[in-house]
Amino acid sequence: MIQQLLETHVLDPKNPNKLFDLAVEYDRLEQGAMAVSLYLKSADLSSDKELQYQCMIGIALCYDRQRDRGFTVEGALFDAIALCPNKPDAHYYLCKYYESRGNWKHCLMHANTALAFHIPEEHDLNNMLFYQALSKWYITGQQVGKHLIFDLKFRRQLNDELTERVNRITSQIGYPDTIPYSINDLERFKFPFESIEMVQNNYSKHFQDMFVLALYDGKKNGTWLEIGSGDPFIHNNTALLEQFGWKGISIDNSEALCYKFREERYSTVINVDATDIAYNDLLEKHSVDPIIDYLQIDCDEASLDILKKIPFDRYKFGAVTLEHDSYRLGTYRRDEMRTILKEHGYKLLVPNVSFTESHPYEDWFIHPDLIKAIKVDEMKSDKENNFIWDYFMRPIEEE
Amino acid sequence: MHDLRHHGLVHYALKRGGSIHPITLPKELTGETGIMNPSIFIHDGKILMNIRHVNYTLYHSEGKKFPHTWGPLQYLHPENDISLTTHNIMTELDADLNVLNAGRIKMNLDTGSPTWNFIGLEDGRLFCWENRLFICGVRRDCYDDKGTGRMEMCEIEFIDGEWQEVGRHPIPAPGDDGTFCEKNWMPIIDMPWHFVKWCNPVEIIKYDIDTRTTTTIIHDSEKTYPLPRDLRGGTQVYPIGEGKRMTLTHEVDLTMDAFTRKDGHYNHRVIIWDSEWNMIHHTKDFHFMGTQIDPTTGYEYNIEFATGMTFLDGYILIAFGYQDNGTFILKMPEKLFFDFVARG
Repeated sequence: MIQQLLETHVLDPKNPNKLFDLAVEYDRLEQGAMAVSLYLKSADLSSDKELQYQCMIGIALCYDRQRDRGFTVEGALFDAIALCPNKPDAHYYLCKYYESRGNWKHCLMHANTALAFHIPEEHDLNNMLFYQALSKWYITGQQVGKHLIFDLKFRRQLNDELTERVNRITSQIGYPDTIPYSINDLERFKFPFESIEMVQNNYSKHFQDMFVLALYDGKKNGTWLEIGSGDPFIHNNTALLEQFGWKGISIDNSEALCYKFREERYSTVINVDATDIAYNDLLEKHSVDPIIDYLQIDCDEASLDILKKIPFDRYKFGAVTLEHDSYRLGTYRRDEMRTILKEHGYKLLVPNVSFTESHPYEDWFIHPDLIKAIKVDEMKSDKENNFIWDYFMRPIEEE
Repeated sequence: MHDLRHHGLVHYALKRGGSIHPITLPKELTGETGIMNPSIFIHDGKILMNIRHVNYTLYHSEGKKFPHTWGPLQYLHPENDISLTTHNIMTELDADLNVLNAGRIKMNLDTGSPTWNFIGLEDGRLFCWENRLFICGVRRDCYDDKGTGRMEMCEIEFIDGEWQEVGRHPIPAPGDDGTFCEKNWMPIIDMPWHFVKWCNPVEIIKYDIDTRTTTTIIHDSEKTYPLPRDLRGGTQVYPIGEGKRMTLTHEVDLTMDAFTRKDGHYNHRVIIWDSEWNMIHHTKDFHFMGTQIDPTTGYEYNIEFATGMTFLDGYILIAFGYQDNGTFILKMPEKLFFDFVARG
């Protein structure tokens, strides 16, 4: 092969394409030095920017294999970008180069520059998204980086190499605190409900609002009792319900968050320690109907004590999301909660809701009198642990 | 006449029954940096070739469209290593000029740390005198810290499955040994211990390997020929009958780009002496692989260097380095070659 290509070049020595073919063959044979000369000559002889671009990429990769010639590698890739700024390859190799040096700001700059252009090939796009995510993580150490990496892992079709890299980084840094739903996930969402297309983004940390709406098939004008409401929107389980016309009573012990809640939401919020409430009196005072569609108890270690104070003999809840944090507190509290709810006729629909594959922190119950059996059958999980993404989303391969 | 400047001797040969043979070596041996300046020689029926392997990869933007940040012609070492290190790789070739085996010559007589940053024996020509096989090149790493260089004969033998240095013979410059750097002396194959030190005017040196002294045998400064540049060695010097001897020399044009950064251009030339060392013929200067010619200045840019040739079964084999990065062997029927020489 090389003999033939060499002779072809010698007989037509000013032809840049034949030089390029010979360079590629030398490159393939791991003869980097000679490949450099031929790529460079091809680029010099050519006026075709695409060919020159490929030559400069080839030069960079040859020097990179020879190690400790980073300035030259960088320079050749800069030459390539100067020729075709909209092509992703040189940006990608620069990202790799800067990654190897821990120069994350340069890495992010090239990833974002490449992403500013249309990248037609899925593989190229994923590579640039990976470097965007990775560099964002290493620059900030914040959730935004985790979100980008999570998106790659669960929302994109990656090749084996990138899958392995993404898995490795997620095993190191974990998943983001929040796993949001967006309308882009609609096609993979397992439990679509009426008017789901109105939901651009949800607010819950881990799909609790989508769970409730799915159970009730997008019901309008439902009701809630939200204990541990927190921020009125961020990680909030009832903000989306409110947008569906629901209303209810929310409780939180943070004066600041309750103030914000009153400013930004329509429904009632009470600033009080949830463990000190006489719930019967409270619900009577607010003339709450004995059938409440949704109960949330999200109060860390206090969740069990609060659960014990709920007047289940007078009030019935269609859906219950209950924090037990068994991943860090053990299973004692969780098991006692399960016993209490079971005694009151509740059915454990989604046990050990987890924010990773191995961090169970909530149980989700329903009352079979209030939820349609067909929904119960559809949404019941037989798994002992339910990573929230897997519970709600079909694998990407199924698309 | 064929355009030997634009297209080169290899193009000329290929169109007339010659062939070009690329030499590749395993990356484990080279790290993919430059392999160049090969010296080919037949010894004990084997086709042997010594190849200079360096720790740099030459970056040469001949057309100047993509110069390196530091200039169009750059020797790119590892960025943490300013030394220019040479290793000698001995190869044995089969009849089709494929590499049968290759390995670094083990330099048994290296002592101490190099005193200058050009390390190793450079551009070693391969030849045999009195049944002793040598590579002879320039060494600059042991005389001082300023780069003083002397020719050195490195005697090699194949021992325990590898080529090893068994003798090291530094060659003083003739006279008071006062020069800065000696290089590119050409061993005369049929005159043991004699070198052509310069070609124009010709200067023949005899080396006494026992006393390690040199004597100037021939040097007539009046006998110069009107050629545009210095004739530098070159390959070995071969007898070609009727007392004549032939070699291949190189010539260098050093130029600057618009920012006074250096560039270079190598030419080659075949020259023939009679038995009295009169230059009785020379070809025009030529390239092996052709060149790019700047249309405005007329400058040419190409780096090539031939340091060995040999004759085999009616053919001449000329080994040359290209851009300091690659090694090739040009094979031409003798008749074709001498016809070219006669016409050139």
